[in-house]
Amino acid sequence: MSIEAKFHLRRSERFTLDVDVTVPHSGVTAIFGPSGSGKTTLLRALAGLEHCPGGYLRVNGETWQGNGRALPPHRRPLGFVFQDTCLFEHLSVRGNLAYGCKRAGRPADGAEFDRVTELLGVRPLLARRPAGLSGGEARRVAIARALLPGPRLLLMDEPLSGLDLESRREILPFLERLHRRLEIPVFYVSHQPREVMRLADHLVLMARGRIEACAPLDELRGYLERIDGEFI
Amino acid sequence: MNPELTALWITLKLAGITTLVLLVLGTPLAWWLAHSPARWKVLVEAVVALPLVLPPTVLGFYLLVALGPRGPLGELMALLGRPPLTFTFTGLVLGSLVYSLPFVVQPLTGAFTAVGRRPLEAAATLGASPLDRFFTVAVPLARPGFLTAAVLGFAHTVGEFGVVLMIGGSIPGETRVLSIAIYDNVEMLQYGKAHWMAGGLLLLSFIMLLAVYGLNRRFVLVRP
Repeated sequence: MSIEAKFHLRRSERFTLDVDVTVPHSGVTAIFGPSGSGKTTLLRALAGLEHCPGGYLRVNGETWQGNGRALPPHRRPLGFVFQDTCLFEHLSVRGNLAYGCKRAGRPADGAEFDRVTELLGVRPLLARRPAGLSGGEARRVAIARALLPGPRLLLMDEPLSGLDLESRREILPFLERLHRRLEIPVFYVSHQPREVMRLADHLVLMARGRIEACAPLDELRGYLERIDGEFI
Repeated sequence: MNPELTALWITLKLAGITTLVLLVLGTPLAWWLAHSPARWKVLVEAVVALPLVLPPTVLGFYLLVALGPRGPLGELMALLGRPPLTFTFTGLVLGSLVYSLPFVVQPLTGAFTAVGRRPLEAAATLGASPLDRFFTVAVPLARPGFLTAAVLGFAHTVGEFGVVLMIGGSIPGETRVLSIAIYDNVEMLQYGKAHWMAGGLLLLSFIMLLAVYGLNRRFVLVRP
């Protein structure tokens, strides 16, 4: 029960993603590192949004990429929460939530729909347009939209970045609740040590496109606390 | 039918067909221009924009040569056992497609560029295939661009004169469009008729532009 990923992707003269990592197929794995360390690129490579020839990705025994073949993003059973939410502005919140359900052959009004919308507190927002949502509300809708099609892996790209303190306080309990209820593995990109300590089970430390360390959170907690101290 | 109404009908038919064909052919071209990383894309962009800067008579001259019995398209028609397309309605449609191309492709390219890749990536992670996400995400988000392209393409074809004169002449019921009819009437010093038609064209163009600006504003207001 693990996720094995190996990618080598030269983006420019100054940046090459070069990772070879195996993480447990459970709980929340935080991908932590400074800006420009390749966290988002790694997440996008996992989703198939970055073209990585020669890459390798195996999720719980199932090969998503390998031997020169790669499943296109729309065939990978994953949910992706983008940093800037990327909600479809031409659809209502309900339309956004139904979009993935329809393509996954799931009903957009059943018990699962109620459970997820309840869990993330988006039920009162269903008739609204994305442009009328606050930052925190839009993030919760984006998370619900990624979860509703029933993915087998959830990828979250800094879901709290760019939010003010109040919105962060509003959304963190939802993420913690998700953490407790979700049965699928989650990759969570962040550069906030406190956020990581609060939410992650496992940690992947990145710098300059490479993986510096990969271990359970408890083993790296001291490192995070030191960084957090320096940060303050 | 009276000759003015016939000219109006030919004009609207020409503009309608041209706009429809350009929307169908221009959409994939604009999509490619908006998203392709190919370096030689600038070459295609320049070719698409050429009708904006070329005098219509130059464009008309080359079209006349190409469509004429000794031109490549004329010879193709001869091979098919058909007469050349010069001075026919079909020839006018072909000329208008070239003449109005940038007016349709450029707003569409701008709209697709503005939509960007991100919403399409989001749709992909939600299980939408490339074609699915094009029709359910890119096209609806680019809707104001489609409206602008349709109206500009239509209005520009309605206002066509030089190209029509070169490749279509003034055959009533076939190639005599409103702009040519106005010119004919002025030549015959029938200013009254010319006034009616010129005024009508002015009003039509104004209403169409008003519709573009008004509807695009509404789209913006609907998705605040």
